[in-house]
Amino acid sequence: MKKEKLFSLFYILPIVIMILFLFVFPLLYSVYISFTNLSLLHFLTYSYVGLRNYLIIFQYGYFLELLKNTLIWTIGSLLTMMTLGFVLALILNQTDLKGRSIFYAILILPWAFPGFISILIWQGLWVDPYGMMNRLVLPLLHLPRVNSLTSTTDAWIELIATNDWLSFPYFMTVFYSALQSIPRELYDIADLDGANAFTKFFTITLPSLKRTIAFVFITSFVFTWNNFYPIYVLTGGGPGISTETFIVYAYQEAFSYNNFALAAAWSIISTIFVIVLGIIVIKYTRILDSFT
Amino acid sequence: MMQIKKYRLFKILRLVISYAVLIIMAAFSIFPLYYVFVTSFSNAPNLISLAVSDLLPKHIYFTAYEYLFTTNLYGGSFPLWIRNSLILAGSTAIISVLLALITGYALSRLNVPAKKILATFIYIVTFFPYTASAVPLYLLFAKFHLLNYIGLILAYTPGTSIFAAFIAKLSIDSIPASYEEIAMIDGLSRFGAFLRIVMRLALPVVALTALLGFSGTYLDFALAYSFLLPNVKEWTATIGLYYMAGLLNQASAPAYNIFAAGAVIMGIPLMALFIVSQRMMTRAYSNLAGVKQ
Amino acid sequence: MGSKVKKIDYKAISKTLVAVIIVVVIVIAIGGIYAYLSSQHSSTPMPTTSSTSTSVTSTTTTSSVLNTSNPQALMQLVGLSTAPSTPVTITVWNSYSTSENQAFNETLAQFEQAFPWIHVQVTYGVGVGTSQFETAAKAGQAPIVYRDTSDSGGALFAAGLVLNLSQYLPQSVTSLYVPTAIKDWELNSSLYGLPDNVNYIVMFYNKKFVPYPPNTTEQLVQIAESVNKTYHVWGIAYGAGDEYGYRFAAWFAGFEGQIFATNNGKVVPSLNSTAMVNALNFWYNLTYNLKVNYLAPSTGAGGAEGQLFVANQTAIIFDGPWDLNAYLQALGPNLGAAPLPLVSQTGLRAAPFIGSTGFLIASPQASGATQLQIKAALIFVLYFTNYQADLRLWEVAHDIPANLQAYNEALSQLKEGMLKPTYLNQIMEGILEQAQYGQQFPNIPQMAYYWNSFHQYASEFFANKINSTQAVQGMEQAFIQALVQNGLMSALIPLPILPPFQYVLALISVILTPMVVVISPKKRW
Repeated sequence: MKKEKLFSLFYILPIVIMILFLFVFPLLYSVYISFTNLSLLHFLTYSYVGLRNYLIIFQYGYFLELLKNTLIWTIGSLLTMMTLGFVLALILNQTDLKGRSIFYAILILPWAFPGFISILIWQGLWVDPYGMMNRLVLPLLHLPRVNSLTSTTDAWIELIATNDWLSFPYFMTVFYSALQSIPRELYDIADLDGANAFTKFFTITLPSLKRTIAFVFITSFVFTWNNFYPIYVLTGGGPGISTETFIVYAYQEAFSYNNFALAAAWSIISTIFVIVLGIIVIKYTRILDSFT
Repeated sequence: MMQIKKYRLFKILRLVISYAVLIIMAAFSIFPLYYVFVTSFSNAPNLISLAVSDLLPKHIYFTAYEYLFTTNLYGGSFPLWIRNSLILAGSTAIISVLLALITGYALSRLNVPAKKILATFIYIVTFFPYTASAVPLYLLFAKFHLLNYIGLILAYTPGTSIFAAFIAKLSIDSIPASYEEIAMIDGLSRFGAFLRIVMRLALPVVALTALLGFSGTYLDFALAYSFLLPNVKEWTATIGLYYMAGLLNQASAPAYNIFAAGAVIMGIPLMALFIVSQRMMTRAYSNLAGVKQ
Repeated sequence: MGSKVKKIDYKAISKTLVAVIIVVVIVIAIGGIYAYLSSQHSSTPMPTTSSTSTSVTSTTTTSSVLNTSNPQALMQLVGLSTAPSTPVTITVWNSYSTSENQAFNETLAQFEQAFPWIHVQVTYGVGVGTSQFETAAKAGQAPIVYRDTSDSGGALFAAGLVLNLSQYLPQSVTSLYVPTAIKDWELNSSLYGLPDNVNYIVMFYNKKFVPYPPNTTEQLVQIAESVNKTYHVWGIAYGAGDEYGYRFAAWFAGFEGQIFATNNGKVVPSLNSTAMVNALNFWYNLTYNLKVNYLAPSTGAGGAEGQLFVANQTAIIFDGPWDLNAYLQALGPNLGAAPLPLVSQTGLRAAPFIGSTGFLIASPQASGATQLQIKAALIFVLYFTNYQADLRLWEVAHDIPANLQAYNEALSQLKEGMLKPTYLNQIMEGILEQAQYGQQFPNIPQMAYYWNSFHQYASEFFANKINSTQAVQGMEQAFIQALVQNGLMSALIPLPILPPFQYVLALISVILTPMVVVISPKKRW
């Protein structure tokens, strides 16, 4: 028994070693420099300053604003993306739908296409009043124009809409495959019992997808929380810092102000938040129970 | 009779709404990509077309594509960089698959000590933001003189592997343990059984991991740039594209038509891969649902 | 059955949670203890740097004019009597644009002929002011020569990553360059780089709409209004709400403002002045009241401003000669360039930053260079900023030369109208005229904290969220806060300290939540 336990360690060893080097080391390094004053002014020789960086973070007023922004960004994006993906998956899952593969292939494109150009294209599309969104699409839908330079709400609309475009196919894929794995018999039995569509949805579909929704929620929550590029490219955190999240601010702190220690402290604080929230969700939905 | 009519009306309504939503969403998905396409065939280097009539181009210019294929940067050229990207991404995909399967197998079948704590730990440690780890990784790899492809592959692999390992574990969970036991009775070692049976049956997971590992490496800019900057012949297509479109260097005006052309060249094979592996991905994610709670 | 399962569940979960918390605490403890134990930390040992500096000054006193084109003279300047027997390689990070690279490569060919013992390994396509240099320096992998802007180079120099050229070259080297340019590269009377061009923004205008350039802001407003009314295009496209203060500094100076002031010998920010309020209000007026200015979301030839300009949708933009080629190609003879106008309210000209890009040499700690490589690097930077090299840049890419001889040659070429096509002469004259009305680009470390402070509050102001007084006060405060946080200013000036409520809230959310989660009863979904 013990020998087998030791032997099985060999299988786990590669990933553990890689994780130690590629995730734990940067984490430890960031924790380490967050207790120093490493910046461009103290680059080659720097000293220990204790909790000073953390005190600065909480003292100078941006913490709550950034937390609020990060929550708006993460939860706003997730709710819309997941709903969109879920609805599309439900639609595609209908047995009498024709042309499913074609639609699926088209709808998966935003996720498949390189994001680095997509984000730039979207930046051009949102320019007010010349970009196509403001010139063509929004007027066609009788919606007001969106100008992210002059309004924070508009900036959030722009950011979340773009993020939705980038990621909804992922959710659609995951939910669709989960829906496909629900055995037909369950629905047939419910039909025999005279259940209508709503009942079937709430008693069969949703409970079967619980685990999928939870798993996908937690991974995407973390990914969106740490997602840097869309905000940086589209609004740069503006106007002011009203769309700036923890990660964008930490990046600016590191590369505009060259204050690496403070940036590391911000990253640590952000990570602590996301870990706490992650633990809550993991515990609440008991995803990792399958490991016992 | 009325019941049937009502049912049919409801069904038609449902289908009409479904098709409407699908068509709208398809248009929403395609529109920006159409834009990339049109921009790549224009000779205007900008992204904001100032007239709606620009949406339907009057002339098709191949200047951007020509530029990409013919320009040579002191030994580096776009085709060379694409080759580099493919090699790098392919290697990362292969190693990610191996790592994910080994780990998934261990988490599923083997009696690893403190499995749950290990799994939680592995999962949680990836919550640290990627942008914050770029500089420490550079410093670490510089110390080991690994600022090259090997280093990059090592740096890219765990990201995909961890997520894939969880999915692999769930997938292997659904294969009954008796399969391997039978194989081992027939004389295969534990490892042989692993190879023979599990890899064949866990093909969807392999496809998914390979795809995600490939695309993650193929499209990455930040880490590749910091590792490979001094050697122009080793650049990846992403770095090369940014350079040729004038986006690396503030002194040059960005040429977005070149950027779009490069993105089309890089993006079409990737999109094809995604579409082709649709079915595999579907099956891979099915294991997440599982019917038993 | 129910309660028994619940109990086991609870224990198993909390064990995991406790394990995770323990790991987190250990991680933080390790990091903190390590940091505490190594309280004075130096990353790499310092090699001796200044031993060979004394031999330099003796040789060149006879020739009053340094000849940086002559290989022998250059070698003597760095203390080499003959070429060394073993070749040496230097790494250079090149941040030139494609057109500038044409000139650079010609110069490189000449250089390799003149100095066959120096192998140059060039990395093209690097950006200026990039953090990649810093990261590489930290790992000891920085390039030996880097082409950077003077302000970014100044920050690197203050960090100890750049060689102090004053220790290796005689003072007379500075006389080879245009005074404004070389002054950009001096910090505390130490020279840290050699310039190869001068850059600043000018006013580009479209002659189709604007027959003569405005001299004063009153004229600017009049022209913008008439262009708007007559041709229905934007008078001006200036994204003041998007920028980081590089261009706005010109208007700030025009309204009599200064970014820095000296207070008891210390450098302090002075953004909080009526000058900034007036400058902000001026542009607000043009954007929202007169509606002749388009608040563009991006600048430059690739941005919204440039695209509108080349599409004849705006008459005036503010940009630099680095984008000249794009505008020349699009507008041809309709392109005009002139200095920024005079502010009618104050009688002062809007004075843009006169900045400079040039070559610097990394300090040996950052690049791991040997003494011989340093000497080769010195020869390199002197050669690539000499008369021929700079003149090539002017002729091929229209860069404003920083080498004095090349600059004078450029001026005489313009006077004789020697540039082709002919309308280019007048454009370049307009561009060069601006050089007389600029302000020095500050290269002190404090400058790095100006940009974000300006941007944050200017963008809020132009988004109509705050008025100009609030914006100006906000900018100043943010600037001061940044300086204090980064140790460039002591916190004597009272800063807003938040009530303890914020502390407690943060503590609760970060530390107590896991405990709350553990204690709360399990819920079935």
